[in-house]
Order: sequence, then structure tokens, then C-alpha cells
Amino acid sequence: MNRSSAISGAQLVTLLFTSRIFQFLTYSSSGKGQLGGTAMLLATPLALLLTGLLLLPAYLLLRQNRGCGIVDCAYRYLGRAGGIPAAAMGLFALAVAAATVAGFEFFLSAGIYAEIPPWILIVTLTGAAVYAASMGYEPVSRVSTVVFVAFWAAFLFMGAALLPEMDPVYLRPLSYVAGKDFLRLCVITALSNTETVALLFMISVIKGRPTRCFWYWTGLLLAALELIALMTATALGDYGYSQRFPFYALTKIAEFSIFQRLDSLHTALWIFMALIKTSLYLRIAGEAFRFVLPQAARRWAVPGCGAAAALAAGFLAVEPQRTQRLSAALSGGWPVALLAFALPLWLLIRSRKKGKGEAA
Amino acid sequence: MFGWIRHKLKREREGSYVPTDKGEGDVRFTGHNLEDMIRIREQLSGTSDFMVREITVCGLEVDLMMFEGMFNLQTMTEILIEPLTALKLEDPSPQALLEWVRRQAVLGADQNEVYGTAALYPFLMEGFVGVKIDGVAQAVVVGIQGYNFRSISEPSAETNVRGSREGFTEPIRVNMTMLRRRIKSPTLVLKLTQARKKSRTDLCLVYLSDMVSKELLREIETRLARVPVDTILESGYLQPFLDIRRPALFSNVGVTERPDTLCAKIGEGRVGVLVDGTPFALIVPYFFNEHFQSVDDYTGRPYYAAFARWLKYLAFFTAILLPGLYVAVGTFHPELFPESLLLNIAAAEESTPFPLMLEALIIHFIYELMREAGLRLPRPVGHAVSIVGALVIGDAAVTAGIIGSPMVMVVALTAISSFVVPSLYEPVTVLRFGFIIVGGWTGLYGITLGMALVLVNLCGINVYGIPASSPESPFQLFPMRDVLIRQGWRKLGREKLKIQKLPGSEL
Repeated sequence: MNRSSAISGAQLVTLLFTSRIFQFLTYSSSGKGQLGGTAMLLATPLALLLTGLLLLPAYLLLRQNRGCGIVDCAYRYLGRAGGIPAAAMGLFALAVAAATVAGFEFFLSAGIYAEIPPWILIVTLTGAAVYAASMGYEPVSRVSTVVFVAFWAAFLFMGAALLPEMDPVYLRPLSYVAGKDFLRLCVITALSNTETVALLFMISVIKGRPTRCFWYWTGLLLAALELIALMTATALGDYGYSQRFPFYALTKIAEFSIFQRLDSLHTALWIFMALIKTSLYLRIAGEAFRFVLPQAARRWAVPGCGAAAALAAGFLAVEPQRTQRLSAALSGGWPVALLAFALPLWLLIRSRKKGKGEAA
Repeated sequence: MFGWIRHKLKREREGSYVPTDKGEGDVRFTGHNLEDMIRIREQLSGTSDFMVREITVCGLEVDLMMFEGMFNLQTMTEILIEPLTALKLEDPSPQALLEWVRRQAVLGADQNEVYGTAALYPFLMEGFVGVKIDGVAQAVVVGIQGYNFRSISEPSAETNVRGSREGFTEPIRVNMTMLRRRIKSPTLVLKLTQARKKSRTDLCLVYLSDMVSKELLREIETRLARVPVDTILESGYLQPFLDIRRPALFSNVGVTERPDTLCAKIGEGRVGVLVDGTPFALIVPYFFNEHFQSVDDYTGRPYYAAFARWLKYLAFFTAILLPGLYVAVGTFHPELFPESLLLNIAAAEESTPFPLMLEALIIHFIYELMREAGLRLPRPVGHAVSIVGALVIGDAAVTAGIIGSPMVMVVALTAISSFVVPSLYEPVTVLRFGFIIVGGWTGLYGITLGMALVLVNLCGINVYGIPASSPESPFQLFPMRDVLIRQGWRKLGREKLKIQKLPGSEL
């Protein structure tokens, strides 16, 4: 009666959705919103299509290595050097976890709890995330299913509450935005999707068809992002562009009958999502480092990553610019491009060469 | 090999085979009654309730062994002593008398033969009477139990509006009959076994053979066989061994006093465990959503059952979160209170010396103190405690300026809510205190993170290979028919639910 660590396709979809949407409920450091709501509305579907194209080498690679994850493929085609991609993925996941904790602390300290010392927020969130991550992917994905349902219920409720505030006049025509900037927005939105790396890493633990999961995830994400972009643009107008936390500002003005100040609802959901995202990336970091760690140290991989993430977040929290720089670096495109596109492409080329060599 | 087995079987049929395996402290009968009785008395350390009655049957000495108060004297006289004393054997010999007892006498419905003291004692201690014929190295035990026990009455911990008023009682066999009367099916299995240790308490596994998962059953049997506790006086002694090993807030073993509830649970593939000496049966496995189900949900109209379910969920969250939320909002987010309420709270808090968190802790501590005292004291004194409690919490504490009056409302609402789902009272109480501390320390952030941790703990548990949070997460629509709502019997009765088919199950 051993519990398997495999998760179903539906669980993967909710897990990745919750983790991804967290980013859009928080502050925008890259200034995406400044291009205008219409640009974001149109850029989102294109960016998601671009993500699909980005994952094409990985799709081809994993199709010919069914049941394997990206790290397994790296070991298969690179031998012992496969540890390098594993370590790179671990470091990337650790960086995402640290950035999530730091960003979370920044949001709470700056927006809501100025009186709580930052270390308390960091330690409590990381501690909770380590506990969740040490239980495995499956429990975290189960929690994400609950949060997923709660998110949509709260989100639609908030949308209904914001209806009187929404005015399409705030939508800037697309002609206001330069074509180059629009394309840049599409590419950046696609490459800032760190969950694509998580998806590739978790392929081997999915029960079901990963391709279908990807499209369901993309579809749901598209719907949510379009709604967020529409709500932010039409309800906040130009005021939204000056906000560090546009969605939070949105929830502050939403009211429905006796229900006022829906920001508490937003904060509650956001805390749940922060926990899920941090746990997911700590788990991925722990799993990735297990490939390179000696046997005796493997059981400490997740707590070790938790401690490292907490320390890193503490370092980042000293100056908010540090958090912004790390977030900008992670969502700047290069890490995702390297791990989700270049690495699978390279492994695919290696596999073809190896296949030809064996055939010859 | 097969020849050896055939030989043993032949000797067994002839009655000349005596098993040679000896249990711990076992003494084989010699065939000489005097010698055997001396050894038995030695082993029983001269206990006063052990009785031996010597009678003569056809000139042969027969000892009747029993424990005082455990057998029915009238039945013993009618089916044992009278036929034996009236017996006239043509060729009296110990073997002939044993043969008569074996084949021709109908001494009791439940009759067995034992060859040593280890096998004899459990029977005698359950109310059997041992018949030992001088010259025969074995004894016949006859089931004529007649000890006093509490009669079947209404379950005190699970009362209902409509439905059966029968609750389990202490003797396991009476409880078994209650189940058999409800499910007259050959697939209902009542498997008697014994705890391996000193008390040798009777346990009974209850399941439907066509519904239960064999893997689940095997796992439960294995765990029960490994219970290291010497004396099992209540099903709670076994509960931790059937529960999961990982620290969990909510138990995954259910408890019921109602035979109808147990029947319903085994009807979905669960396993019941009856323990002799307690009216509380165990249900394995038990999922979180089952805490919110009760018998009345199934006897009333479905829409009301659904309403009651929602009410219970709301009460559960109120019971664990309300004081913590009140403290968190009052301390960190007073702007969330409506203005008039905020002014009232501020006015009340103005006159109290403690911060909200300490106030909440004090008042809930006093409440738990009085509840505990009321529970253990004799009923008439308990009422007095309730009156004192009402005065202390309701009036005196506010008048004395220890707590504000809104806090009285909070504690009252919390207390009432916590009784709506009685099976969750223990975790709810501990969580409530936890949330008060967290809420007073870190505000709504701590409360939310705490709730997230509770959710992780719940979702992280697999009970015998089935997720404890199933069917909510992993989600499946079909089993949800009896979770947040209760569908009507036309739909519920159409297709049966098996727990091993729940989403995420590895059984």
C-alpha cells in the first residue's frame, strides 16, 4: 500500500495554473501594464502560442523518451554530465522559490503588514512550504485543486462586483503601441513563464497525456489572464499603470452589496497561492538536487532547499531592488529559454546523432 | 509428508490425537481430574471467583468448572446438570461418557473441546462452563453465558430525530446480533478474533465480502495482529494502530455507537471493528467529509440534508476560526469591521486591561475548564457548574472588566458551533487556540497560512491508499452526490459507491 508520487493530468493543470496565476496577482516589475490593456489582451494569446512553440523541441524529445523527465533524458544523452542540467534546474527552481518568498514578503510588508518583521513572514511561509513540499507533489496538487476552485469562485465574484466600475473607454487602441514593443511584450510574456520549466521537470510524474494537460492549462490561463487584463484596464484606467500592485488596487475598489474591501479575499487567496508556488518549486529544487547529491544527503534535499530559499529571501528582503532584480532576471526570458528550449533542443540533436551513430 | 498429515487426521477423527503445540503458560490435561484441578488452581493463583462443582455421572467423576456470575444457572441446570445426572450408560467408561457428550447430548449450541489450560481459560472467562471427565485428557466447554450487562439503549453520543433507537452495548456478541439483524445477507462477515496480549479481548471485524477491498482487509488484520497493548479496555486503545502513522490533525478512523451507521459504512466497502466491552465500534477508513454526515441526513428530505451539511461545514469553520478572526481583525485590521460595530468593540475594549488575544485565550480557557468539569462530574453537580459558568462567562467576567462583552458573543457562538460536529471536537478545540495565538501575533496572514497548513495536512494524508480529502480533491463528481449535498434515495440507491473506487485510490 505504498503511496505513489504520480499526479493526474487534472491535478497538474490546477497546480501549474495556481502557480502561474500567482505572478499576475502581484506587482508588475517589468512594466508590462504600461503598454496598455489592449496590448496585454492581445499579447496574452500570442504569448501562450509562443510558449507552445517554445516547447516543441521538448515535446519531440520526450515523445521519443516516453516515461522520462528532462533530467532523465539529460543523463541518457550526456552521461554523467547530465548532472549539470539537473543542478541548473535545481538552482533555477530555488531562485524562483526565493523570489516568490521575497516578493511575497515585499507585498505584505509594503501593502498590508508594515508592523510585522520581515523575517517572521519569510520564516513562516518557507516553513509551511517545506512542510508541504516534503509531503510530495500529490498533496500539493490536491491543495491546488481546492485553491483553484476558490480562485475562480472569488475571481468571478470580484468580476461581478467590479462590473459597475468597468468602462471600456479606458482601453487604449492598439495603434498607440509600437509594433516592436508589442512583439517584445509577447516574447517576454512567453519567456517569463517559469512554469514551463516546472512542467518539463514533472513530466515523468504525470498520469495522463502531458500534451493535453498543456493545452488545458494554456486555455485556463488565457481565460484568467484576459479577464485580469480586461478588469485592470477597464476598472482602473490610467490609475492602474501607476500602481505597483494593480490587481490588489482593483480588489480594494470592488464592493458588492454589504461586501466591501474584497482585498482581504485577494490577500487570503494570494497567501494560499504563494504557499503552493513555493512548495512546488522547493519540491522541484529538492528533486533536481537529489540527482547530484550523495545518497545520505538526499533526504535533506527539500529542507535544505527551504533553508537556502529562506536565507536568499532574507538577503533579498533587505533591499526591495534586489527582489526586483531577481524577478526581472527570472522573467527576463533567458533562464526559461535556456532550460525549456535550448536544453531540450540540444538533447534532441544529441539523441538524433546518437540514433544515427547506432544505426550506422 | 502427506502420509503424516493423513495419519494425524485419522487420529483426530478417532479422538486419540492430542495437539502437541503448547501456548505460553499452557498446561496439558493429564486425564486425572484431581491433578488437573490442582494445576488449574495453582495457575489461577487461588482466585475466588473460580468455581469447581464435582458431580458423579454413571459412577464417573465429572468436574464442572466455571467463573462465578459469568454463566446462567438456570440454563446450566436444564441443559447440563439434569441430563448428566439422569444419564444411564450401558457400559460406563470415561471415553463412552465423552462420546455421549460429544455425539448424543445437546448441551449447548456453542460447544468445543480443549486440551490444555491455555485454551480453557478464555472460554471460562467468557462465561462457558467446562466439563472435565476423570480419565479423559480433554475438557468440553459449553456456552451458557449469563452475566449481567447493560441492556440495549439509545446511543448517548449520537442521538437522532428519526430512525433506530438502538445503540451498541458492551458485550460483543449482542452487538454482532444487532448487525446481523440489519443485514441478512450471506456476504456480511463477522470475523471474531482476539487481541494477542494479556486481556485477550474479543475483536470482531465486520465487512461485506462483496464490497470490501481484500488489500484493505489484509492490512487491517495485520495491524490488529501487531497491537502491542496488554489490556484493551476500549476501542480507543486500538484506534492509533489503525490510524495513519504520519501526524494528522483529523483521525482517519471513525467511531460510532450506532449499528445502523456501521451497516451503512460497511455497505460502501469499509471495515468495522467491534471490541468487546465497549459500545463504540471503529470504522476504517474514515474520510474528512464523513464527519459532517449523520443518520438524520438520510431519513429526511434531501434538500434539508443538504442544508444541514452546509450548516455543519459553516459551524466547523466558525468553531475553529471565529475567535482567531475576531482577534486578528480587531488587532490588525479594525477597518474591516462595520463602523458601528467597530465603535461598540472599541468602547468595550476600552474598559478591559488585556489585549484581545489574551482576552480570547482566558475566556476560552475558562470555557474549556468548565466544560471539562461539567463532563466528569455527576450530572446534578454538572448542572451547578453550568450555572456558575453562565454567570462567570456571561456576566461576572464582563462586569469585572476582564473581558469585553463582544467577546462573550464570540465565545458563545464558538461553543455552540463546536457541538454541531461532535466527532471533530478535539481537533477543533486545539486548532481554535492555535488560531487565536496566530491571529493575535500575525493577523489575517497567520490565519490564512494556518488554514493553508491545515489543508495541506488534510490533503497530504492517504488512508490505506485512499486520499483523505477524496472525493473533493482529487475531485470526482459521482461521490460528491453525498458530500456537500445529499441526493435523494432514487439516485443514491441506483448505484453503490465503493471506497476503493474513490479518485486517487491505490487499492
